[in-house]
Amino acid sequence: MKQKQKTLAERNAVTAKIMLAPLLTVLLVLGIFPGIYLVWTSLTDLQMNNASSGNFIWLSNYLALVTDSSIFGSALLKTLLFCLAALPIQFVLGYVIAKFFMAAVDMKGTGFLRTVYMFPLMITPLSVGLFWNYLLNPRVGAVNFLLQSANLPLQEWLSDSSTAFPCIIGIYLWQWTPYVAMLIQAGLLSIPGELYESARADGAGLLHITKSIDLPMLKKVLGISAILSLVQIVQTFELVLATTNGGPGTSTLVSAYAIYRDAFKYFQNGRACAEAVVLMVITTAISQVLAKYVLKEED
Amino acid sequence: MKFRMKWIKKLLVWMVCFCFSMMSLLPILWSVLTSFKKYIETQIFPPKILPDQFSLHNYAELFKGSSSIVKPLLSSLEVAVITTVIVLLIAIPAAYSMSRFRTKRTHDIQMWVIGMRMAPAVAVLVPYYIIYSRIGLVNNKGGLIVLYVLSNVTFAVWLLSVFFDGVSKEIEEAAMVDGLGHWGTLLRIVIPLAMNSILIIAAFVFIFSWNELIYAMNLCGQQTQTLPVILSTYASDVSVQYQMMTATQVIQIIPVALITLLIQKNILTGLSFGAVKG
Repeated sequence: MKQKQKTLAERNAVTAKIMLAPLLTVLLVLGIFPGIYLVWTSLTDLQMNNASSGNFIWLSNYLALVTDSSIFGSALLKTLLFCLAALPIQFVLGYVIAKFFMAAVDMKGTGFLRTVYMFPLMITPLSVGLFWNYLLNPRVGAVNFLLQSANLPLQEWLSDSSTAFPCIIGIYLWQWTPYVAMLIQAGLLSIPGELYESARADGAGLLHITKSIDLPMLKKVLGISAILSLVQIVQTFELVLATTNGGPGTSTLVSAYAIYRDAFKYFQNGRACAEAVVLMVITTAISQVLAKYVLKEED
Repeated sequence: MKFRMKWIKKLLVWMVCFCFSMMSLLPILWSVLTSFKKYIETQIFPPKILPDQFSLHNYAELFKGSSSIVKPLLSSLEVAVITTVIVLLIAIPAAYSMSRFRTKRTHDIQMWVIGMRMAPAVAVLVPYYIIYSRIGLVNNKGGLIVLYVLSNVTFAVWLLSVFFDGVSKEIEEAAMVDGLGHWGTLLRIVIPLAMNSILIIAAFVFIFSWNELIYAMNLCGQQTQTLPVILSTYASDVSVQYQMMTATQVIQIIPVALITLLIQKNILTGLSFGAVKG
């Protein structure tokens, strides 16, 4: 009997491996190999339009990123600024909106409103950028039309270096606040109603409920949402491509767009690879924290 | 009296929710309306909200002549469908294996899988572009599909294993006692039971591939352009034909909108890697 069980376990292990094999092959061949190639290229001065390039130059590309008044360095700072400006607004607003949707959860049509509210999440950021570019057009855009109707001074929006970056953040918030709001609402739905009832019976105000019930109960959802949003911001590329191309000047040049520009406009492939490695390391660090959060639930 | 106050309060809350969803909808609606306008109507200030007449002229124009979007549309469809099929073929057995034969190594693989998914597309593109140019895979749909499979398979495996964890193991054990092997159980018991979840994942993979721009933009030639690549040409255009741009956008969004309505209850589950149930 014992003998048979062992062989069964062995057979299981073999089946498990066979079932995993295609995935592991894909990840290994398509993920790891280009990863190694990326790191290797980041140590060379490769320029795709220059046949005599591709020499091994040790860490020069990385040193250039830190020492010289590097554009990529300031692009990384821009991404950091993006996170610092967008995340607090996204979460406070998301929480407030989630609370409203919760309060209306048992009314007719709320489910449909929710789907409509979430719709921006499913549109490609390229399309979002394109139609906001039109809405914010200083000459014929609808936003300036609204300002004019309200007798407010018209703005240059995306073509003014002082308003362009706030506009990008605004468009990001338009598209991704629903994400956080709906994740928070899903979290709120799992909080037992009695908690609120007894708090209210004790005469607790809204702020008190937020502090003593919602925040502690939503810890995990908020953590996951924050990390997913961070990754989203680090990846911001299409939105910039569709609106400003990083300009005016470098006022909206975020890190992902800076890498793209170095690789595909300036053909500095070696340097772009070094920048890609840096961005990879940052996101991998963030995503491992996420993985820990998600996996914890199962244990 | 108290009852009425409560009712008014509820109505006000509902109105606020309505306003939130309008904030999401109105900018999109503006695009849809613009797609029916004539060029001249997009160039006046103050702009008119409604077009003079709802004409399908711009849409007809998109399907005519040498710059017709039929070919990109078909390319997009082809790439998205093939990607979805390949992803499911790889992901279903892998996810089943991870869900049923949990070992220490499974955990490592899961971490690895989620890390890959989070990698910034631009950072993946940079080495791939160099490799593809060297082996002649630029301008090739196959090359594009390879990248789409890579970036979606991780997502699919992750989410599927979360779903498979939820499928009752008792039925499976009964099936195995009856002599069905693991493959038989997977094919005849688990897949039918998890069909809904599989379709949701298929929907997500389809939308991700359908919407994808960064890889397509840099790895496609004239012959293999997908719809987002056509859309991106409006970004750098100085004299944008807004009515044509929005018409193209509407066509690009239609399948997304339909699928969104079909899977509306599961959008959150998908977008949060199964960490949050919608």
